[in-house]
Amino acid sequence: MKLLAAALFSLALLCSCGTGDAAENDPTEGPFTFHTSLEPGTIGENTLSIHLHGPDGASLDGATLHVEATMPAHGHGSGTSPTVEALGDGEYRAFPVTFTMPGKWEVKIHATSGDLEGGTVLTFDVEG
Amino acid sequence: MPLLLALLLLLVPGAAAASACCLSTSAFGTGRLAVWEDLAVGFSSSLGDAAGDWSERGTWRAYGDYLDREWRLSAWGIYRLAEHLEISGRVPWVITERAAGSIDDSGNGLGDLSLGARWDLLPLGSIEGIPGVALTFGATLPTGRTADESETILGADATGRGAWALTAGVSLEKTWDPFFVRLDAAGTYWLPSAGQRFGPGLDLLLGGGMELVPGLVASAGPRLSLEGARHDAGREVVGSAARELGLGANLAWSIGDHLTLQGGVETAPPVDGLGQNRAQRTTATLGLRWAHFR
Repeated sequence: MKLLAAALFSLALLCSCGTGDAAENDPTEGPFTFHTSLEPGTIGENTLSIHLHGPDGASLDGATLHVEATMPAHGHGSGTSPTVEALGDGEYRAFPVTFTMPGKWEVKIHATSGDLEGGTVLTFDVEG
Repeated sequence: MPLLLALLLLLVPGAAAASACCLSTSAFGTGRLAVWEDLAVGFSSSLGDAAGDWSERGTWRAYGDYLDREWRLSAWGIYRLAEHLEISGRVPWVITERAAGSIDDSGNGLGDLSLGARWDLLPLGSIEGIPGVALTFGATLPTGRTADESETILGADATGRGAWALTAGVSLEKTWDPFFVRLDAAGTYWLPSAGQRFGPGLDLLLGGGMELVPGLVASAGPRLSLEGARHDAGREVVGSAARELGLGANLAWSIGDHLTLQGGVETAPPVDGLGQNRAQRTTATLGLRWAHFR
């Protein structure tokens, strides 16, 4: 029982979390694993930190990442596209991830590395 | 129930009256021409604040540290093309102020132009006991700046939806001097734009009013706007349907033979379920209408 609880707790730690309002992970597509953190998670400009893992679980450098924020209910994003900076050791930073108004926002991350590509979608309920 | 009552009222015989024919000409929105008019032009100023919004599940949520204020200036015109046919156009200029935390943002620009046509299939009062029936047609032109084209942090310079829309509807109206009741229903089809298409829309307006004193008409009623789910790259976006209910009251005051002063307020009760994927906005409007007689 303790072992099961520890295993479940470890799995929970691996989930992507955003600070401020909680993010929900939609299923990830492709061979990569994304660990993310959004600061501050409010209306305006935010910083999205991404830790990218390759198919073997190791941190993956040198990938090309594209990040886009949209409001699925309204059919629009913001006027700014985030610039993704590679920080090394599988760490990437996207800024600015701009939430222009309250509501449900989706942040799509698409990554390519050589012949591999994959992505994930984060969901944020931004309060006004 | 209100819809059924309105339909019943539309079927009750009413006495024909010269002034009753045109009580609603300037009661709602751009309105229509009176029988003695061949041209009307106007200008309106609307100021609205959003106090909160409804989620995709219809849950109402009040805004805390967020300001969303819209000031819309519109110039419009209606022209009689033929005895029972009129065309119209409206040009909006949108000024928006938004604030969140320490961020203040503002922007302005041309909004989406709208064009319209109205054909009086059965002119009001032409057959005693039968309500007037008009067919309406419209088009929205994507002349505004979309949110994706915005250059400000909070998107305050966004002024349009970025897509063409075509509208067709019907307007029923009945008068019993000094009262009138009107039911407008219109469907909207959005053309695809940038790989997506907004869902079909349905707008219903149920209005009634009366001439309080000669030249002063008061009107009020609910408005319901529905929009189907959006499609993105051919796939339906679940949870993107929208619903908006407004309650409005208006006054139209003839301040001269050709001039009418218009004022109105519209809001929506901040109650769960009354809206979906829309902001709750209270808007006050003031306008001036000038008409040329035939």
